[in-house]
Amino acid sequence: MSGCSSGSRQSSTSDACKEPAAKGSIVVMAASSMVNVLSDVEKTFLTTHPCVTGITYSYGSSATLATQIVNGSPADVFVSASEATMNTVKNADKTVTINVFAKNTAEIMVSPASRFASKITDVTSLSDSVNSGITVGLCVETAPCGTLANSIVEKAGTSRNTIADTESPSVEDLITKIEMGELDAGIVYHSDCKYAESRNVATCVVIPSAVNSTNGYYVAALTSRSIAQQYVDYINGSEFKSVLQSKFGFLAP
Amino acid sequence: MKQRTSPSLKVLAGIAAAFIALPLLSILVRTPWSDLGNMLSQKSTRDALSISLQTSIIAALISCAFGVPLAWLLARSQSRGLSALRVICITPMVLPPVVGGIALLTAFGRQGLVGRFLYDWFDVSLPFTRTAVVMAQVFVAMPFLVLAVEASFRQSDKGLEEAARTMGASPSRVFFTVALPAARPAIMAGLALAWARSLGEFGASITFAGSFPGRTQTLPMAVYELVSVDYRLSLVLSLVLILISVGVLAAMRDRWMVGR
Repeated sequence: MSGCSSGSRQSSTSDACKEPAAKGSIVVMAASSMVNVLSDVEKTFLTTHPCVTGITYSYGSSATLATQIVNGSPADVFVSASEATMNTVKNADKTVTINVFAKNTAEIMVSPASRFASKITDVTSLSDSVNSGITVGLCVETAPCGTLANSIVEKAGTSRNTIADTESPSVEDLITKIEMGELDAGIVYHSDCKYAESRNVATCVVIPSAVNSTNGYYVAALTSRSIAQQYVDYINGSEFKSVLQSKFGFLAP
Repeated sequence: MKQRTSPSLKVLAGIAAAFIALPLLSILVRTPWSDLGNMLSQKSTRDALSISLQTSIIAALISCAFGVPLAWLLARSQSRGLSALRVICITPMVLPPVVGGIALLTAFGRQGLVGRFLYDWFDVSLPFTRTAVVMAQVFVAMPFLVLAVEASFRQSDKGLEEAARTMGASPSRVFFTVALPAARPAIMAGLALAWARSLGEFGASITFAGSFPGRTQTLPMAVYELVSVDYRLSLVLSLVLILISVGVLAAMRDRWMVGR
């Protein structure tokens, strides 16, 4: 079944690629919480989209990437982890169409090496007044994961200043420092924590929904190239969404 | 007597000078002068400035206290393997600072080679503290001082040291009463260089010490973070850093003019 359908698809798309402009590689700027997902589906996407000869990824905090895009950094697609950062790009270029394709919640990611591992039960247990000497990281306020963390610590009745010992420029940076054991814990995305937990490099403590918040993931084509639109269509498609939700723990938009 | 310079060389030199001067002047032009006082008095600005000044001065002094003896050893010791030691000691000068930050984490982090014992035995956790900021600055800045002072020790008059020694002065007395005073200008220059380098440190610090406003966030880190949030304030902080840098060079102008 798959052989037949992919065969017919192959011939029709390779016809469409005959024009040199329709074929080439694309640059995708994406929120760092997307890194595992996008590298997971890259091969599948490239096989099913022969017009796209390669993808260059640039990962970072959505806020940093948005600034780079507004300042003229060449990119075909922007995948952001918040509406606000996507709007930064849209405000600079009104022709951009944005689409939400997933949601995420937050979780407390705990280093297995931490001596506080068994004592971290909720958001307030991250503060020094509950666990003296605990070292906790949050994303910077400007990054979507930092905005998310802010709303959570406030709902939990504490503050960023009480909890955080350091701020990471992006969620990837934060995760690395927890995995290295340099931080005891941090507030990261549910999807990232699940991925780390599956590799046994971290444990996750659920934040109850009364305290938790969600963020949306948005995608937009930044150029009018057809191959950029193909990538955006793939991200918005049901196949990608099912991978996101079943394999990586994202929520439906 | 005035020397003649060829016109084509003048053009190339002019382009080189303009390329360096233009970006620096652009910051002056774009700086929101009317809001300057207001922006400089903001708590976040004052915090970053005071952390920067405090850590960089301590880092320069530590670099001096340990770097001068190291320079002396490199200049005078006959031991084998000394050239390898020199290469290792000045590597941070050419190393991307972020690599230095990772190196510091692997050595002094809570899971690091040394840091693990500090944490397990003494409950000392270095990363993400103000101490870590200073350590990162010393790591990148000390080599500048070592190199400047070592060169001076090498050029200094060995005859004087020899004379002192034959008159019965101990090695440490030779160092403190003969060699050290002779190297004073180089030590001052090394101090200034190490201080300026510490003040500008970013890569190693943000990796090893993190960036937290009011605790570990220095001026360069604040500039980096503000670029995407408050561009005007990042310009003001950049201006402060430029003025300090120019100030250091101006204070050391005698040093740079040597040989003219």
